Amino acid sequence: MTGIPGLRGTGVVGHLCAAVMVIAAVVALAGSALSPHDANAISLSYSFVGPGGDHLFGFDGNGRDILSRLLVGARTAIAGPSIVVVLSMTVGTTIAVAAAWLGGRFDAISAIILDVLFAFPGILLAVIAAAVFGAGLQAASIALAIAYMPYIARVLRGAALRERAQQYIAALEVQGLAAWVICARHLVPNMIGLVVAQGTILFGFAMVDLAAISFIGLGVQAPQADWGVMVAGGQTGLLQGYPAESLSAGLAIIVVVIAVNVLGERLTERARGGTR
Amino acid sequence: MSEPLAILGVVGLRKEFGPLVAVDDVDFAIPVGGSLAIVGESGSGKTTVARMIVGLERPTAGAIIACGRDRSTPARGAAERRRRGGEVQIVFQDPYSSLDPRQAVTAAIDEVLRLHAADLDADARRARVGELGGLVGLDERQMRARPGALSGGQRQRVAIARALAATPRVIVLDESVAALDVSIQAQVLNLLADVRVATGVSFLLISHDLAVVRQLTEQVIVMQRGRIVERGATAAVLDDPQEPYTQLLRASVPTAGWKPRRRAGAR
Ligand SMILES: Nc1ncnc2c1ncn2[C@@H]1O[C@H](COP(=O)(O)OP(=O)(O)O)[C@@H](O)[C@H]1O
Ligand SMILES: [Mg+2]
Repeated sequence: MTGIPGLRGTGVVGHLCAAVMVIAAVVALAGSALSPHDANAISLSYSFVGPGGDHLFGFDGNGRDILSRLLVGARTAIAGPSIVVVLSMTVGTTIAVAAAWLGGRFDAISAIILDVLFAFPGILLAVIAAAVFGAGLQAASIALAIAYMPYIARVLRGAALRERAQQYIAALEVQGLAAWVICARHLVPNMIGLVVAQGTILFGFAMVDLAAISFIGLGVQAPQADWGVMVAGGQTGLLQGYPAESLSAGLAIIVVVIAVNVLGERLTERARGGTR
Repeated sequence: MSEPLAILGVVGLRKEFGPLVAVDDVDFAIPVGGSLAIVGESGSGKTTVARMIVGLERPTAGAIIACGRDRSTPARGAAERRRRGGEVQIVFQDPYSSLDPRQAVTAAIDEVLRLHAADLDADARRARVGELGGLVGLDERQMRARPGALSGGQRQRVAIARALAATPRVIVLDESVAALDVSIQAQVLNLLADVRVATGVSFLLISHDLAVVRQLTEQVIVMQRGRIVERGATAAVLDDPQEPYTQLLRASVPTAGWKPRRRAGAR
């Protein structure tokens, strides 16, 4: 089968999901340039006015162009989960590899710490972080990263242990290569399929959680455009029969989350059934 | 009679796994240029001895001395680790997991050269990689391939070349051909015999196959339940086993169809 090398074996659906993610990333990077209007320009005379002209999605309760806010809001909607993924994958992979490599006491102690962290739901940790460090995307993302890290570490520890048991690793040890070199050059690259797959799935979870955190007012702060903020901000409109703002932002979240989850599942399947 | 200096010796070697004594009071010495075989039924502790010698397992008691230096405790520091790698190498049994699936053959050998022949520049390393490939009978295309594109026998050739890249004085061969087809086994064994002639490397050979043992080694020890039950010159032990256990082993092991092209390690 043909396809993009990194996506081999994920099928047409996998490629479609990846396309959705690429579009989301482009919008996140260039959203303000792409948006037809100023996302924050308020004109109350346009409050809840429906689609018309180049205002494809109409206006929100404050008379702001919904499409522009969607495009601009993609940045924080994508950046937050990205921070979560990078942080928790880096720390989780490091702990997983160290536990698998060192075994013994380090493995046992790290398992206990991870178990304790497991007990904290991400949202709860984010609420605490907001209380301590103030509400905002950064605190919320770091809190989620900490909450998700144990899942990542646990899944990857198993993979690291399997890889550690391969004889090529022993051969490299006998050669006299330093342990961290073996891990960085050989062990982790051989787990990368699973790392990417887990990171992709995590991205979806983090996106939903961050939207929820923004929804309850502890994440991205209004009036800044953000998909989670928009779902929340559209509530008054929803009650008055103007669902465009909440619906469009919610739909954007759902489409991206489904795309990353489906792709993540397929990548995981591929990594698990991988050659060896 | 004066003892020749041993290139590898173990004294009172012991390994416990919990209550299990896997290796119990094992002594042997391989003279410079000589080769020794360990035979014994499955579970008799042969692999554990090999793993302790290359530092993958820590002895419960006893000493391991290679090239005149003790290696019974973990290496301290990068330099010592590297030096040990340049003294004793190992080729494992399973050709399918002994190579990094992501690494082409040339890259795998080059990585070892970077570590053990740091004075070579890129061109010199490339030449040396080619030389080692030639020595183990891999062609250009196979050298560029990743392990997934190679057969079991070809992979074991790569593992041998990788071990040789460290210019070791001793190579431990733990059932290194047992997983291969008989005809491929013969090719790899001939290769090993040639390598020994070409490099003067010593083998510590672990094998079920007494024909192989006879062709590649001068000394043999027989292990049973972690202990050495018989030892001596290979030909003498195999022709005229004293222990009932060794007699049984000889009777129960089929001989392979391997005929050496030339005598190994003639001396
Ligand atoms: N890491 C280990 N943990 C516990 N027991 C082990 C371990 N490695 C080997 N053993 C046990 O030690 C004994 C000797 O094994 P091994 O050295 O592999 O024998 P051989 O190579 O002669 O077949 C066996 O009973 C085996 O189950
Ligand atoms: Mg064994």
